[in-house]
Amino acid sequence: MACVSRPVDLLPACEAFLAVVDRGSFTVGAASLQVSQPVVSRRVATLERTLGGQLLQRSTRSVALTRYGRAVLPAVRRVVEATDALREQAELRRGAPLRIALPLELGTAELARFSADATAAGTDVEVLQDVPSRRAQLLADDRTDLAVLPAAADVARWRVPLGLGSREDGLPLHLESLRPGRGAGSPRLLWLLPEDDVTHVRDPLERYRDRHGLAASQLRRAGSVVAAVHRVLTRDDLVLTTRADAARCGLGWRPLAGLTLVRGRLLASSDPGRPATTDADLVELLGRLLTGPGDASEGDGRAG
Amino acid sequence: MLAEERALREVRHDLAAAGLTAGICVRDLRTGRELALDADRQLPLASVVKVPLAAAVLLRAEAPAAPFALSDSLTVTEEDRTPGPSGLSRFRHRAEIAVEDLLYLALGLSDNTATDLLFRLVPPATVTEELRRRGHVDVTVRHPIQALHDSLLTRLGADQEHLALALAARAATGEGGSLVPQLDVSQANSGSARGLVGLLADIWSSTGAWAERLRALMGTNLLRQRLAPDLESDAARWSSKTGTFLTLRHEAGVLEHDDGQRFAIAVLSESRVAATVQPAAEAALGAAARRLHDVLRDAA
Repeated sequence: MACVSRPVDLLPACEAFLAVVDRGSFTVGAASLQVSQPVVSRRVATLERTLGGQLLQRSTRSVALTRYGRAVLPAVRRVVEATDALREQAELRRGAPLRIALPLELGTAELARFSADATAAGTDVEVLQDVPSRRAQLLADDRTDLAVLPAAADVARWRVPLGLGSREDGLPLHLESLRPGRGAGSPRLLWLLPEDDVTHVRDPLERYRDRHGLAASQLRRAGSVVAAVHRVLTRDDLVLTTRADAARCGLGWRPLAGLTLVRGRLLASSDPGRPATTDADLVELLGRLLTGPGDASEGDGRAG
Repeated sequence: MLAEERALREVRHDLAAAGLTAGICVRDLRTGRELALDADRQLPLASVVKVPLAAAVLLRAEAPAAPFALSDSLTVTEEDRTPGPSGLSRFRHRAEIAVEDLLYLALGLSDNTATDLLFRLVPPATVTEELRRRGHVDVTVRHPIQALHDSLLTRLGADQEHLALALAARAATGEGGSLVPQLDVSQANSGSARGLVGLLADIWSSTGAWAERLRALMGTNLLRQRLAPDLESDAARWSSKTGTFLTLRHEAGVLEHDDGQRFAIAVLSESRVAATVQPAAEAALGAAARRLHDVLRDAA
């Protein structure tokens, strides 16, 4: 059997063959491809030569598939369709911005500034915002190119200390002072935001709570940042957050005493073969965005 | 500081609402910083006296030419018995017991009989002498526990408890004086919250074997209804001694945190409520100690 000697010729030949079969005529098929009829005839002949057998039964009035032609038709159709899909996808993504999934707490103004700075640095970005679990899902589904994800302190690229968002700024606070007394009314609660509802933050907090005599119910998951801030304002509760986030919410902030908790993050890429660290400018801009001016933060860590 | 003043004001108010007046002293043993409420007010010590007694016994036993050893045995009979709710005071038969075990009963169970047997080895005046030698001038020991039982309550009988308490609460003559001699600070074993914190600081900073032994003994305290529920946890160890007599409710001890911070806490209180069992008063005292401790701990 003859092998495919010059694959570059195969694609126009396949397209010509398919056009003739689908239109039922060399003339109409040629018109649909916007080439002349002799060109189509030559390409079909090329395909027949390449595949080593006659594909079409030509007569004066009509064109019909041979048995061999019918046999190879589905494969030819797949080649043409795959090529069309490739062209379409390339068209769609050519010049499209880099999609990046970011945390919810970031505000419009700072995200706009970040996007503008990224463009100036040569990368257009499209920002998606969501909770950590959904950011990871976006990445898994290939609906984003990059995602900023929670990470334990030792593997995080960016680290920001967590403290207590409260009504007023203050000195470091031991959480054990939230311990309820006998016969006292409802105790103050500590709210955990979706952004920090991850094992490397939640587990040490629960351990601290149990060791220091706080009630199990005093550590709560907040449905949203707004709900947590509402409780701080109305009930004098506390919300675990960074200094910059507390400021974004119009809250004061107190460092944690006797317990070190860190909001760690890494930059994950949808392409497992290519670490998301290739664009140094973008990484630096992200670092500036994620470690706000009020945070005593640590810069670039190890992993990406 | 503002937070400290506010805490003191609120604690005073909450205690008053529970029918209590109290002297409270909380001291960070590392820095010496203190938060205090009427901490120099003298009150009868009740069973808190067992702490200075135990210190004196241990110091004496350690001294050269010690008149007794901790392993010496004593025989306890019916005549030796001082009334009380626990330990040897409840024994119904003769018992032979070593001095060191008497210390455990006196501090761990607040055993009155064990305490008075120890007072026979080291009399009240000698305990006070030891205190003065170590620089503690605000704690004075004058009598054994037995003296507390020649009180109103004993004379009126057990069925007149409410009357005894009501009379005791009204017997104050001002300046710490009382018509009830056991409640009169010039006649009773007495001390101030600050004086007791000074003694605790001494016990917790001394490297001597006596101090180490005493710290361990105070950790065995089984009476944990007053301050312990608000202070102790898996991350904080509370070693203390309580004292309860007529209208008096006291506790003095040290809270040792996992992170190494240690706080000496003494609460000496007096109630105007004529009831023996007062859960609300216990809770209010615990909450007060906790509040002052927290403010001091977080204002570092």
